[in-house]
Amino acid sequence: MNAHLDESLVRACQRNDKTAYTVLVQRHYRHVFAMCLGMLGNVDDAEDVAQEAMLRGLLKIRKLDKAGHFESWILQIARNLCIDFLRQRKRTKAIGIEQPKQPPQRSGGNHDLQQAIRRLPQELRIPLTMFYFDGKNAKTIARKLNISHSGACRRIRTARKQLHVLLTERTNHE
Amino acid sequence: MNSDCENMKDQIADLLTGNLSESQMRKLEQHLNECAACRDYASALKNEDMLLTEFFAGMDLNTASRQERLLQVIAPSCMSRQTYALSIRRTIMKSPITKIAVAAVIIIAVTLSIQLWNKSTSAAYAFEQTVEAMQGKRSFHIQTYFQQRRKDEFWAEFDEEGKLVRFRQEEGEGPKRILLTTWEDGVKSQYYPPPWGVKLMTRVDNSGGGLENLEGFDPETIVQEVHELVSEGKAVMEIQAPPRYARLMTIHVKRIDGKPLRQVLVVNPDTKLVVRVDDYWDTEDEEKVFHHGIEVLEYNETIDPRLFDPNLPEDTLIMDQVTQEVGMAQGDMSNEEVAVKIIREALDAWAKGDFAKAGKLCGGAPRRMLAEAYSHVRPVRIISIGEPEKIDFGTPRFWVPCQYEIKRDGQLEITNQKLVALTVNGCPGRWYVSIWHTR
Repeated sequence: MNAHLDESLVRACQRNDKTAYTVLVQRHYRHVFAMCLGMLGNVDDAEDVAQEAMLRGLLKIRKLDKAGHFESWILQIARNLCIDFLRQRKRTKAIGIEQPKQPPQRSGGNHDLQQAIRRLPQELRIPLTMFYFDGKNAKTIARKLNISHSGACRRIRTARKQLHVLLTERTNHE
Repeated sequence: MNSDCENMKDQIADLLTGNLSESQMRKLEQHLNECAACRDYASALKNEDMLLTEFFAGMDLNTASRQERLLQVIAPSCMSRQTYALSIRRTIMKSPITKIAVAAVIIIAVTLSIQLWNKSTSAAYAFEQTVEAMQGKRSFHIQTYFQQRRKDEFWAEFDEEGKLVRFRQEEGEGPKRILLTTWEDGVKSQYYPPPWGVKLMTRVDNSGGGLENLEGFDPETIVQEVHELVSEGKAVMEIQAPPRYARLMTIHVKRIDGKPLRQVLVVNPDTKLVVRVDDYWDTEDEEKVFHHGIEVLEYNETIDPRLFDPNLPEDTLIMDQVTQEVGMAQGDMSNEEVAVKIIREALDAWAKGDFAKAGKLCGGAPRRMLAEAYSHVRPVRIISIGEPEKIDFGTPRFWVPCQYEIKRDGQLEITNQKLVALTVNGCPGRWYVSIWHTR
């Protein structure tokens, strides 16, 4: 990502240039969505939270001091919203509120694969999702998750191996 | 499975994610040649990799429409009131936090849109200025996108008359580059990184627009096309006047000749140059919008000459179709006849171990490359060669279904493959068999 371009876009937003924020959305929305998808494991929830994160970004952008750090800032907003969302979901389950039945996912017929991905622990599911959804670039993932490059590679590798085990287990049980 | 295999499993997973050094890759290849269990593991992971890629690509089809819904919330002046209300309602239904956020956005957005409505389009700007500014470009460096996902990167230099002098394209996602292409003085060089490690040199004259890769992404070509379509009444354009301190302005273009295409061009008001273009193709499914985009990272900056003449690893094998005669002459044969004949002869030469001839028929593949790659496998007999299927491409090329028996590590097996026969670039009437397109 071109941080200089982000910086000038953020400065433009801070001067009330609404157009500049639409360009920031075009540049960053998919990364925010990928992060939410990895954390929440559900397309519809990820869409809602990603949308909310981008809207909050618009409301708070005047307060962003380091204009060149828009990417990490908006991802942090998305991460916090995902955590809130997961907490709320857990609470709702704990007090036994009837959940509306989830509509079928809009991802085609890969039910087994989807289930297996959901069974991965979050620290593996997020980099795996970002890897496949967002350009297969471990370096970028490392930057976005604020971890080392080797750490990102290791998590993706472990995720792939665990996913293979989960998929094989399922096949063997059938 | 031996004690090495556990380590190799890590490397197999790394191989698929592109996180393996060349020396590790060679060691792994050697291990895979010797270990059937690891070959099976690698094959299973490769299949899963394809499944994962397809699975996430399926989700990705809706990314453009998701993003657009969000943009509609942020930029209400760009859409109809009805759509706006719908997209807002969907969001408001979710959480109280969103209710507050959206309410605030509506207030800000409406205030801003009133400001925009009150301004007329900047009198100082006309799209023709961008057409003219683009004609003066001497170089560019761009990033392309497909479904908002980063795809290829291009660098190009032009002479004073605007004629292309040289270009470079890095194709693929992230560090997983599958192809590096450079072009200069009528010679196109394509470098396929390991496991191939091959540079293919062909003659491509750009006088007739032979560099199809570049043309679709050249911002000047895009601007000229938009200008022509609007002039001919096939598209309408809305130029959004930038607020007082704006650094960028957007131009919305909508086709009205039946093509379901909308384009958003972002222009720098100071230089009048286009810095980003996003194409949105609507489909019958409202949820699915196809997206192509380019972002110009630099204009008119001096480009390091080494980018156009990259240092490749010493052991790169050169397939030279420029200084040596390759393939087979078509003579009086029809396209279908020569496609079948050259594939039959290439398989025969391979079966006899005549790698010099096989290499020539395979477009100049060096003898050493074929001998090494096919040391453990060789055709024994051709069972059938089917009817060639034409591939819809600029120059003639065909898929040719072949069934033949091969001996792999001493074991006989029957293989079915579609090989590709195509014409040699810059040598009319000569054909070769591509070993890159086998499926």
